[in-house]
Amino acid sequence: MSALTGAAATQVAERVRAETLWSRSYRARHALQSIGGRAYPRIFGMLREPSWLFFDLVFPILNMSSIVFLLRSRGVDEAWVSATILASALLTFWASVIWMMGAQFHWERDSGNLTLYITAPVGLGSVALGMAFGGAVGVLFRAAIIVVAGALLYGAAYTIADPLLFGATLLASIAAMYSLGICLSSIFLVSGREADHLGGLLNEPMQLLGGVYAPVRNLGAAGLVAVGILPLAPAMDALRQLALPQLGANGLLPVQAEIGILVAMSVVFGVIGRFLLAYIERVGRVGGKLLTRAD
Amino acid sequence: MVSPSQHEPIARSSAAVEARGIGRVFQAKGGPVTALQGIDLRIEPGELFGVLGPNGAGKSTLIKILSTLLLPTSGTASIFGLNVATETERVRRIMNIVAGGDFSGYGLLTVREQLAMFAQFYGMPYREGMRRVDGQLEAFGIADIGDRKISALSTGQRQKLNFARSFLNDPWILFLDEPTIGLDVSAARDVRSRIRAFQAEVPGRTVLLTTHYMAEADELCDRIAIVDHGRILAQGTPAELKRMVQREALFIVGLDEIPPSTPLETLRRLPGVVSIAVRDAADAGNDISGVASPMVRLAIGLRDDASLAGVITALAGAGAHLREITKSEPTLEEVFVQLVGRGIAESDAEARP
Repeated sequence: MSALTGAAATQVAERVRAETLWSRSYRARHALQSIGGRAYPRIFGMLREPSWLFFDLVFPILNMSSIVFLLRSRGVDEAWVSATILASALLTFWASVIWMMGAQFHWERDSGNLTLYITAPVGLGSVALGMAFGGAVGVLFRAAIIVVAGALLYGAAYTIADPLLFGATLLASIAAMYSLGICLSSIFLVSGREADHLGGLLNEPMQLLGGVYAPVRNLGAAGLVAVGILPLAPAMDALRQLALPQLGANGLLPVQAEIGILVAMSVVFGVIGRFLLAYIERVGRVGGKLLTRAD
Repeated sequence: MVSPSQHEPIARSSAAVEARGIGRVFQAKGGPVTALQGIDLRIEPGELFGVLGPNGAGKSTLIKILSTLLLPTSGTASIFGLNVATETERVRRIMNIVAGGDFSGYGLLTVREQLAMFAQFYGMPYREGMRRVDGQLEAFGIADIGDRKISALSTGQRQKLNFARSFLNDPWILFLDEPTIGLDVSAARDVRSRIRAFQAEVPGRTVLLTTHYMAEADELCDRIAIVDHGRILAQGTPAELKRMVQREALFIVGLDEIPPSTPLETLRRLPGVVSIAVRDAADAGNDISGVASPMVRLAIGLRDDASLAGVITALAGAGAHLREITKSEPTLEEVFVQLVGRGIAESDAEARP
C-alpha cells in the first residue's frame, strides 16, 4: 500500500491544486490547440474514405444535373444553370451544417466521445469550433469540385468583378451557417430520437426558404423573414448577385446589406451556441442522461 | 505549463477523494430512482481504491459524480480538495477516465492520430504531446499498430488505446469504470500490470476502480468498498474485509486415508477443534512406483492456528500419511455473500431487466 498520509498527503494535494491553476494565455493556447485537434479528423480523416468522397460528390452532382436538365428543357437563360451549380456547391455546406454539426454531438454521445470531451479540460465550445472549422475546410474542397464539375459538364461560367468581396461574402456565409450549426448541435442533442426528423425538416424545406434554386425575392414576405433568420438565404442571394451580375435584378437586398446580416448572424448564433453548450452541460449533469450514452 | 494566478481561498482537504453524504436520485418514468444514498468515502493520495458491487449497485453513478459528469442530489465531494460540483474545470485538469467496453474515437483516424488529438485536448504542447503518445504506445505494447485505423482494432487493442489515452495527461486521479470488462485474460493482465506501474511511477497518483470481478479487486486494490443498492455496506483492506467473515482458522489437510483407529469424532474432541469435515476425495497423481494414489482432504476449523499441532500429532500418531496442509482464506465472494445476502452473479441476474 502506497497511500500518503499526514504532511506528505497535504504536500501532494497542494501541488496537485497548483497544477490546476492555468494562466489566461495558457488557456487561450489550449483552446486553439483543441480547435485544431478536433478539426483534424474532419479535414484529414474524410480523405481516407474514398467511398464517402464518392457519395458526397456524386449525389449532389446528380441532383444538380436533374435541375439543369429541367431548366434547359424550359429554355431559360443559361445564367440560371450557372446559378444552380453555385447553389449545389453552397448546399454541400448546408448539408454539412445539418448532419456534421447538428447531429454530431448526438453521435458523439452514443459513441462515448462526448463523455471524454466533457471530462477533458477542453470546453465544448472549442470542440464545436473545431468541428466547424474542420467541416468548413473539408467541405470547401468538395464545393470546389462541384463548381469545377459544373463548369466542365454544363459550361457554367461566372463573372466575379470583385473577388475579394466574393471571398468575404463566402467567408461570412460559412461563418453564419456553422455558427447556426453550433446551436443545432445542442438542439439535436436535447431532441434525442427526434434529431433525424429535425435534420429532415432543416433540409428540403430550408432549401426552398433559402432561395437555393429560385431567388428568395420570389417568396415575398416569407423571403424577407428567411433572409433575417436563415443564413442560407442571404448567403445564396448575395453570392448569386456577385458571381452572376446578369441576374442581379433578382436580388432581394443589396449585397453589402446581406453581408451585414451574415456577420450579425455569425455573432448572434455564436453567442446563442455558446449559451446552449453551457446549458446542455448543466442539464446533462443535473439530469444524468444527456451527456453519457445509455448503457 | 502552469502559471499560478490565483490564491487558494481556504484550507482544503488533503484527501485524493473525499465524499460526504453523497446521494443521487434519478427521475424516471416510473418515479424517482435512488442510485446512491449517504456515501461517505475518503481515499488518500496514492491509494488504489476499489468499489465492488453488482450491476445497478451505484458504482458507475459514483464515478460519474466524482469525474464531474453528474451532479449529486445531496452531499459534497472533492478531488484533492477541489469541489467536483463547482470547480469542475480544475478537477478535469488533473483527472482521466476509462470505461469498459468503450468504443470512443474516430474510426478513420490512426491510433497515433487519435492519441495526438487527445494530447491537444489535454493541453500539451505538440512536441511534448507526441513524445508522450509514443511513450504510451510503447508502454502498452501497441507501438506496432500506431499507424492502424481505429476501426481495424480488436476489443483488447481498443481498450489498451483507451488506457494509453487516459495516461497521456499524467492524471493525479484515474477513474476506471469496469476497465477490464470484455478483455481476454492476457489483455486484462497487461492492463492491470500497467495500472500498478502507473501508480508506482509517481507517489500520490490515485486510482478509483469499479469492478464486479472479485479477483481483480482482491489483486489490485489497497482498499475496497462493497456497495449494493446505492449504499456502502463495508470498506477496508481486502484482508480486513475477509476477517469479517472468518470466525475460525480453516485448514485443508490432505491424507492418503482417514486412519480407522482415529475416526473424525475423535479428532473433533481435540482441544481447539471447532469442526472437521471431509471436503473431497481426490486423485493425488501417481506415487513413485507409478500406482494411482488417492487422497482425502479434510476441512478442519480451529479456534486458532496453534491448535493445528494437536490435530497433526493425532493424525501422525494414528499412522496417517500427510500429503498437504494449506490454510484456507475466505474469498471476497464470501465476504460479498455475507454482506449482501446473495452472490454477485445472482445480483447481476436480478439487476437485468
